[in-house]
Amino acid sequence: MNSLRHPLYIYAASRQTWPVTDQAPDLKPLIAELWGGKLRRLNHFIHLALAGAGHCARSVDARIAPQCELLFVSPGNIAQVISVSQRILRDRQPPMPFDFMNITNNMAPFYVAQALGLAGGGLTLAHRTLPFETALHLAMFQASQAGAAAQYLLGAVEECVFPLQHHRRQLGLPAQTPMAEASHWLWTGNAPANARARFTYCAFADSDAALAQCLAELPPARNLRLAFGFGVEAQAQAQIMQHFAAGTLNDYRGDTGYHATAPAGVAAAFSGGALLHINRTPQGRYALFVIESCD
Amino acid sequence: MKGSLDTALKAQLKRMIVEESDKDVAPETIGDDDPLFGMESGVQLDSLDAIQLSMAIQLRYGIKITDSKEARRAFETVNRLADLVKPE
Amino acid sequence: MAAGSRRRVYVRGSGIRCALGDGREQVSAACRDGGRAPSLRDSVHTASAGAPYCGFASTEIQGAESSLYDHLQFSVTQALADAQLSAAERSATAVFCGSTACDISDFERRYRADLLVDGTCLPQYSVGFGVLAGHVKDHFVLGGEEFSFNTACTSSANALLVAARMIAAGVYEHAVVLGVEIFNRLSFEGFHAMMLLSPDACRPFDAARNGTVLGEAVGAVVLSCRPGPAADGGQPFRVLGGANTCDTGSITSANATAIRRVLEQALADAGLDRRAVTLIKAHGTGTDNNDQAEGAAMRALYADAPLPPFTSLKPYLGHTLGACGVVELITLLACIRSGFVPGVPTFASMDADIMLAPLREHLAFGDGILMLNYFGFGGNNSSILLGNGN
Repeated sequence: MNSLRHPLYIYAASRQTWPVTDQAPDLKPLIAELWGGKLRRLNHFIHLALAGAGHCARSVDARIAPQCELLFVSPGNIAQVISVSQRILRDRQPPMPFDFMNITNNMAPFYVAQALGLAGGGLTLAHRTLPFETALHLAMFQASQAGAAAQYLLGAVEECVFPLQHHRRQLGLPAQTPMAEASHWLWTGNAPANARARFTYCAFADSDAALAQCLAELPPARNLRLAFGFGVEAQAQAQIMQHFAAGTLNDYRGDTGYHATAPAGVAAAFSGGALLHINRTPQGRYALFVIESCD
Repeated sequence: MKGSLDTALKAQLKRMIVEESDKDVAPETIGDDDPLFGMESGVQLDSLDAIQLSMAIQLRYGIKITDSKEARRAFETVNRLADLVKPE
Repeated sequence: MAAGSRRRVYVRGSGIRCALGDGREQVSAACRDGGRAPSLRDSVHTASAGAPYCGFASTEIQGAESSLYDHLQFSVTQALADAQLSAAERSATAVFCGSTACDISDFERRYRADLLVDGTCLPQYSVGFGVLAGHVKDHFVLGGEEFSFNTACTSSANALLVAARMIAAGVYEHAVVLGVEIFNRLSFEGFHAMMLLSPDACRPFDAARNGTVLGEAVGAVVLSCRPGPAADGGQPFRVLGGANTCDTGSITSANATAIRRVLEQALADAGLDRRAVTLIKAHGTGTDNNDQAEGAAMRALYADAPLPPFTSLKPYLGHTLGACGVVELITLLACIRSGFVPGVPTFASMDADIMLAPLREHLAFGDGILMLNYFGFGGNNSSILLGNGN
């Protein structure tokens, strides 16, 4: 069991999902509006990142500090990997330079850092099933080692591959699962000033027993609401809910369409009180985080 | 007929330059002898554009450009590029 | 957090499979002999004669259709045995993985086979770059969390930095840090299309350098808050500190000012003066841009102090991209353990724009402070400081 309790304050946040059926949304107009016309040679994955980061940065007047560290997580720039691989392996054609250049996952955070004028550290992360919780855990850890002015921009971006039915099969999802692309961003840091909320707890628990210990350890919070990741089935939810007589379910999953980075969206959409989010991996391990408002 | 005298070829190359570099410049506004690189250029291509265009030229016209310095020389102007694609 | 108040982080064990062979002894012996010539690989691009590539040395692998997971298990098994981590210690061991292509080599092999059956089929793929770290965590029953990094050529260097920082702060006792890069058409043809591959050889910092040579490797390092039981062959090396920054000046080309800044931040993090460094393991890819920018940054950092000897391991390993952070650390320490730092066999003449020369001959070396530098696409720059004095 591994838990961090370092408070990470949230200054701005943006939750964006695009439900998809047969094709990806065209974000070029939105990018041009958010960032001006001169951004070029980009792919859809980078558009998703720039759309979310722009929306987050513009949601407040304050400017993100240049030394802010960027922690970016995503299941990967899959659509471009697939299309370039088809061009090489099926069509026996060399890749176009721009297509290959944009393929590594850290190109999206590069363009976000460039657009926001950031020059701090930049880590692009991945995790099989808990992408956001892993990025939050790393941000909380880095913050616990850094000074009062440290800031961390957390970005979680996910694209779909089309045809969607084939993509669902690769993800092991039932055929009718509603799907969404997503770009969730949170500007966070160590300084409490003008923060609307703060992360107070982030933990991983290896078993049901370890989870129960985490839940018992949690400080009591006023009007606590619970949210569950896609990995927690209804029956397991009910069992966990018993621990919280007063807790009400915040079932966000119904309206967003499947995407593994959904917990980032729940964090970004937090509006008050206290929220405990619990997610679970197919291997039976749990990831938890708590957000509390700062009023 | 040398490429730099072939208006159809030059128009085609101008379209390719704009499309491959993803610039919002109208192809017909690019002069045959305008510099394509550098600050005073209307298109302001950079070294990455040169690499992308080299691949496009190789795939479409079979002209082999092996390194980035050679690529930079090939795309000085539309006329020079047209002569490279069609020497006579 | 001041360097002083952090726990020590030991390089406690390693395992490796690469172009120089399998395991530390084969790797240092091959370096001593000047490395192996890379083999030519064809390209789908008809207008090109292909390019050299540093494939795995052991012959039975080259032929076999072995999966990347076989190589991963080989290197991690070797590293855990070398570190002598007990079952109890493994329950407090986290996994950190750095890779550019992750499991794309296996993806491509399957897609090629599927295409033989149906030329229009859609490729099967796994989702998410975390599958390698996840596999090692499950297969070797490691109790800590799994972190995967995908920042181009600094991927496993950043994995090392974060792992060392978490051990120093007491979040974990031990970490298995992976660097994985297996030959795949996507990277090979991509670098070829970007005109970054040399047609013949990797010549870091040389006036006639004409591109890099890619290579494949799977490395595993065990970092620990305690040295291994049998720390034979002199003092074990420790991670003293390091830094990572993201320079947004250009998508692909390295920038001297940004490189100097990350070197200075790494020295500050380790609480070291630049004069304390006794060897620099440069990124030294052999491309025109990287070596020019890296040389300028080293000259600027040491403008008024003697520049330590520096070398590049890419002529020996090839550029193993996301894996080079771990793989080059293992290779360097393997050579130092048998008393030398390898010179750059392909360096012939100084470039007037760089005005620096790497080591040409092997340098006798045992103890000291090493600066390991890595710079990647998307301006991701990392520097790590190791030392084995006290």
